[in-house]
Amino acid sequence: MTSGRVCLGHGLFYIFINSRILFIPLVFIFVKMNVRQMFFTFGNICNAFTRNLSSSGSKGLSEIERRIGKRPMTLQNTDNVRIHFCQSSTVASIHTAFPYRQRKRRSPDLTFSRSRSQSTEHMSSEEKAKKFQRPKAQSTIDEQEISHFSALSSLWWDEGGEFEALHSLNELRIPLIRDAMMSQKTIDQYRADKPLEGFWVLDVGSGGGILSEPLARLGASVIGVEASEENIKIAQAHLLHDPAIRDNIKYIHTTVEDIAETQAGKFDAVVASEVLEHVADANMFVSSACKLVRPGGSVFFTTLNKTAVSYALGIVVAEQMLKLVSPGTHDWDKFIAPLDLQYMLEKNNFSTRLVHGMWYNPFSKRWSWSKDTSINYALHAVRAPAVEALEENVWTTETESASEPAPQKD
Amino acid sequence: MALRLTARCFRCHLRQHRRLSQHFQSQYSTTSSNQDNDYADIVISGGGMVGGSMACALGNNKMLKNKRIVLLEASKDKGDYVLPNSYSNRTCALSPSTRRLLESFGAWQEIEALRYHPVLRMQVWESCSDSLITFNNPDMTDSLAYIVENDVILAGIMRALKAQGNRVEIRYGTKVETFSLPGKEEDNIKLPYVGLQLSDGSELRTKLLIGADGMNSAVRDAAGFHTMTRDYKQTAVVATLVLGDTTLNNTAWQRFLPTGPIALLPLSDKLSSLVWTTTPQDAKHLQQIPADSFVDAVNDALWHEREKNPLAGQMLEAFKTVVQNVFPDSDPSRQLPPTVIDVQEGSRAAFPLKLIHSSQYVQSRVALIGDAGHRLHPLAGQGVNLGFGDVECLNEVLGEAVRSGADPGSLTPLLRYESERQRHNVPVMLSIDGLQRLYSTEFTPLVVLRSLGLQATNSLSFIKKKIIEQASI
Repeated sequence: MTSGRVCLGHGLFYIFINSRILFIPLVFIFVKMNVRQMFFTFGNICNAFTRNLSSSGSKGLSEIERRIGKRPMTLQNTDNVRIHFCQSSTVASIHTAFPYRQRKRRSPDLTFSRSRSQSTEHMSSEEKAKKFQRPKAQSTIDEQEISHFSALSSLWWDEGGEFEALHSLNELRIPLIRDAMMSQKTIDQYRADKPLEGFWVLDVGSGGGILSEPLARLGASVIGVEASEENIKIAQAHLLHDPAIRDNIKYIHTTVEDIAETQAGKFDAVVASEVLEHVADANMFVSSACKLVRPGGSVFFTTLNKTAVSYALGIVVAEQMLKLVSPGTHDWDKFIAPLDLQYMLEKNNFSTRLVHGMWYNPFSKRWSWSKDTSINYALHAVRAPAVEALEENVWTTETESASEPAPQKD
Repeated sequence: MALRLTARCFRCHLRQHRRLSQHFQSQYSTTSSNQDNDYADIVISGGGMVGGSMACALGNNKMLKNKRIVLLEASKDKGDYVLPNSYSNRTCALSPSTRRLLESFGAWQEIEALRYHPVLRMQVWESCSDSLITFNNPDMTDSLAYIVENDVILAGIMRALKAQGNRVEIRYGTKVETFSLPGKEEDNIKLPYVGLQLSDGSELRTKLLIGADGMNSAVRDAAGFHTMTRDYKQTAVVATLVLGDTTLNNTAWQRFLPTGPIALLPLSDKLSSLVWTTTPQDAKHLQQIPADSFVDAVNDALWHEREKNPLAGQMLEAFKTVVQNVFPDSDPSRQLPPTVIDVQEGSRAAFPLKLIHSSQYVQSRVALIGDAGHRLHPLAGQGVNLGFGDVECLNEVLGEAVRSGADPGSLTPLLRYESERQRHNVPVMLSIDGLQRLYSTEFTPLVVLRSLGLQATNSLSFIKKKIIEQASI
């Protein structure tokens, strides 16, 4: 009987916190004033404030130094510095990644490794280096973003720490991906404990592997693509501990744009969760991600909407007041509205299946689905099955099925 | 050229990979050569009623069918349970929700095949006034609770566990010597799992350690959970009593005395289990006196009228008249408690009472269930039911977590378990603790208040219905 009262009290509190009544005055102010101008003034004040903090104390950085035993990679904040992320190590990791595919799997993706190695075989190392050192304008990596996360990477797997919200976001995004992809299977193919078995998933911006590992546990073969080498190391180190999924994930130090041409159409799903708001050129990023999906495959995005509310809550409240995410994580200018994203996807021949809003409750530290997409949202889109590809498939599957008795799908 | 480069890169990578693996293997300098052999997904420490049913529930969970589950039990394997003729003095009152849980993995069916006794009615009254409350489901059809001996519950659970085949690995005669927990070390990247050094010399690594090792939980101490304890300075005397002149023994009796409540729980048509909470001195005395004096003492505790508070009596009479006018058919018949005629030889025992509450039930890769997380006064017989509730909730949470690909030991789902269970357990603990405090006084205003309160509750059938529902959830 008393538990009911506790629940009720909790519920009231919950409603109070989550109701948009609180935001009405904020929204009113935003509409009244010149919104952009206000953002800049406020942002500058906050930036100055945080800069002062970090220069005087820099407690966060020293903590990280203590943990990882060395000074994390930092980059100068000047425009003429080019980051050499995609050097020979990229080539090495790609080459080691794809023999693994060849060895482990009997999926239709076998050509993946071959085509990759063939495409680079005729090039010398200099040519390769040149190829991967793209001009900055074409890159969708933002150098500030990378240095920021690299510094944090040793804290990736502390569930009560810096990335707490990302860990709890798994409770929404994993079921979303799982259910959307499971629906492509027939009942005979479905296994309750491994619903994603046989699917190739590309996790873009895999970071420390927070999303990749659960997907692999569900049976998917995951390739994690990440621009920060330090994050790759963290993710690989963490992965080694779990023998159950050790062989199902490969983390590659590269970018989506780099593999878009060579691996086009190789993945059943491409997941870009909490990435889109960090890329410099969203258009290019989206079209590269779309290229990687096979006809009929899916893309999943979770990102922040570009609204006044998302500025107020996503940046002012979450970063600067509550410090749910570390200050400097997000840049409102790079946020993207769901309609814009849908438009980009449509240009790439994708049709949007669903757009869901997501709410984060900072008190219970949990996410929940919502109709309201004004802050965070998740989007699922499906690539139109190409007619000629279908016809091709008819022939290939027939010839392949003679040699390979159990094709995974299609 | 390019091929050579590729090969070199591959070798480099391999070397790096091997170095990393060696690095991580060296973290766990294992005695056995096979690294994956000492690796379990879930380890349950403590194979008592709650730990055993946790193992059963997890073993039965379809989502966890690929997970390796290990149950560590400190005592030796006693083999199959043979039902003795005499009843044990340690019993539990299982609630209908516990029955549903036990049914879900087949343990209740085993208990039914052994023995249990249903409780259809409960009567609670006190020595300081005439106020009383009775609980029963309409028409006395559904049971309020089931009185089962602890040994029988455990045997039922173990049979159900063995019926699952080798789904859960049971290690008898094994307990954990040292724990190495993640987060306790400097760098949690280096030690992501729980490492256990067992008493048989082997080592075990696990993603999730479930502490079901009772009130003096070693897991709780090792994990450093903040714990609140309160010594009730009371001792519970248990015994198996033989009743005279009973027709249908299906009522649980409880009388609050200033020294503590005395309860009679029906074991069979002729026998009842006694749980008499009293001061440690009295308890010692009660254990030592001869059987016939003990029987007299029990009868006296159930029947005596010398602690009656006259003021409370008058107020209660006035109140009853008012209530009678408002709700004419609200006064239920008062039943007289049975007379005890004998106590079974050697069934008398005593144990001290304590309130233990762990402020948290979980941390990364560790979860507490049952008495390890909470222990309360036996006056409502809720202790073990809360433990079984933990089992049900944790099983559900872990199944859901694995369904969405989470590591079973990760904190996010475990926190869900914690908040759900604390929302249920803490109010129960608080109200039982409050009742214990309220009834351990003879202070007149409080006696009056509690008498009127109890009588009022008794008259209001919808409140009673709520209480019954609450107790059976």
